[in-house]
Amino acid sequence: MVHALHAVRGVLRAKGAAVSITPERFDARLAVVSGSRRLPAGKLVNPSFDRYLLAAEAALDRVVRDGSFTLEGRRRHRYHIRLRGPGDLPEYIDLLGTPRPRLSAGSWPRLRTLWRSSSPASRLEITDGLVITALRRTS
Amino acid sequence: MPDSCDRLSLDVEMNPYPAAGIEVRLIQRFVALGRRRVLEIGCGDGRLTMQLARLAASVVAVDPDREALCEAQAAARQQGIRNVQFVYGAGETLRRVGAPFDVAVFSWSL
Repeated sequence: MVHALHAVRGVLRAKGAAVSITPERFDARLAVVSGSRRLPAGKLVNPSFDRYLLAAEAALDRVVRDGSFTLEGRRRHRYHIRLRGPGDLPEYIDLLGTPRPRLSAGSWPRLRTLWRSSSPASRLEITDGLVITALRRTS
Repeated sequence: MPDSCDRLSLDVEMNPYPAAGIEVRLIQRFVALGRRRVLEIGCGDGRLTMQLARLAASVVAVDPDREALCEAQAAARQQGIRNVQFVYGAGETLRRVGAPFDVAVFSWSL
């Protein structure tokens, strides 16, 4: 990503901005939601993907340190995705691409138990996060 | 661009990304997008590209996945968006198509 950031610097106007949107460190929380009731059911983890995220963070820090950009700001944001139920989870995981996340130890049995005892209108909620980092090209 | 773009389906039933508008709103806390020349790296199927294009003067959207670029191109056509140029490539090998830019967005690309 350092190479890409340097390449981008070459096509940006003076004082132009580079903005990176990345997933937050992989830690998606699962919950069974019925009306206002929210029951935590475990999480999706992805240690392999976290390595890429750490590398991206390091790249952003590096181009600030080497004077190519200044840091304009960084912001974290959490968002929710609702699935019809655990049956949708494999498709959701497929959409995330590779390396694929997996349910953390104990999450699947807990999710299955909670889901079986939930009402028909329940949904499976995934809380995920993103990080926006804004850089300004130095002149 | 490949010739087989028309065969791809645009039906998306599930979306692992934030609701439309969230990312653009967050970007604009730091950087104005209105009437700017925007470069998007890693545009994928164009989900965010269309949101950027509605604000920006123009968008050059780059991705190394030809199939995804086809989907993006078809989506732009379907939505009547004409200020986007899709380019096959990666961030490390940017050509100077459309440069210079006011804003470059690394769109969920690491």
